[in-house]
Amino acid sequence: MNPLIRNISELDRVIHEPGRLMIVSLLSAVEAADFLYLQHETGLNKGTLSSHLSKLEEAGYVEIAKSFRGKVPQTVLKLTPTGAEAFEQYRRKLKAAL
Amino acid sequence: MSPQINDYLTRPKRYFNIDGVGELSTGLMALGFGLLQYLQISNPPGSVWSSTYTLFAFVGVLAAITHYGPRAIKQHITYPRTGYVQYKDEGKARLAAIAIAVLLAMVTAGALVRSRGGFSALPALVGLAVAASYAYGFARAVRWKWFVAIALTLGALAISALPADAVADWADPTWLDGPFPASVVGRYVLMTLFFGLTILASGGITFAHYLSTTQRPAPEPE
Repeated sequence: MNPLIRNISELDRVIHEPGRLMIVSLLSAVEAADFLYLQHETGLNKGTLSSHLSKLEEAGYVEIAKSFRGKVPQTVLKLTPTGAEAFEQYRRKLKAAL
Repeated sequence: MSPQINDYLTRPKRYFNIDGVGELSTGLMALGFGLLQYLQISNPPGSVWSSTYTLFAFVGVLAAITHYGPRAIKQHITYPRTGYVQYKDEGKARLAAIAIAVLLAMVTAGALVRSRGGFSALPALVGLAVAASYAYGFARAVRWKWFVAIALTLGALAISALPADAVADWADPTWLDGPFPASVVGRYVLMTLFFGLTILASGGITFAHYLSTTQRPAPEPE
């Protein structure tokens, strides 16, 4: 198989989707961030963002903690070590493919 | 794809000053110190403004305002409107950067002290260093802030070019017993005041713009 095509085919499908790629990129640059911040930066609506976060949580890439800030509910998201490693690998493979 | 990823990777750093709070606290700090120095040079040597206790009290109040003020704004205005971010602890990298900056400043100051008449270049160098730091820290993220960086640079150069005699007359040198000539102290005070006002104004504009363009999301029905 052509190495270029092989590199592309080896890209992590969970991260490769544009919405999830935005989320993982943002979370990789911080310790943690809340749902509102991700919504503000990505421009995704609540439903779409929730759906992407569920997929990332299922893959073990994102940790979701629900709490309250005062009386306001807050959902704090954090990239897990597995997620961070998967993102690094994704970037390496993408760089090789390009 | 890669530039887009890099854009998202740098967004959290840009988000830090989305409300102008970084500039507001930097500007307030500079303006506060500038005002204290102005009060020191414009009052007699034994005045309350020259006392060590005043200096400590002033620094304490200023440090408290610039520490708790931004936190309060973030907590009550920014986080409810555009979200909360917990940044990675980059304490060691920041300390290393500060140590390198201090070392460079000391080497430059030492070289200037050794060269005859070198003091006159000190305010311009300090001003250009502050303008460069502003450009690096704030202007890279928002295009119009390059005008602020240019204004800071031009202001620093203009203040450095003021006639030494006039500045020395303005900055009463009677309380000065250090190595710095009154003209240098006067330029330094003017520059600190100018930087404080300019950065504070830029932060204020950013804050006002943030307030007018963002709002808290509507609460969801229970």
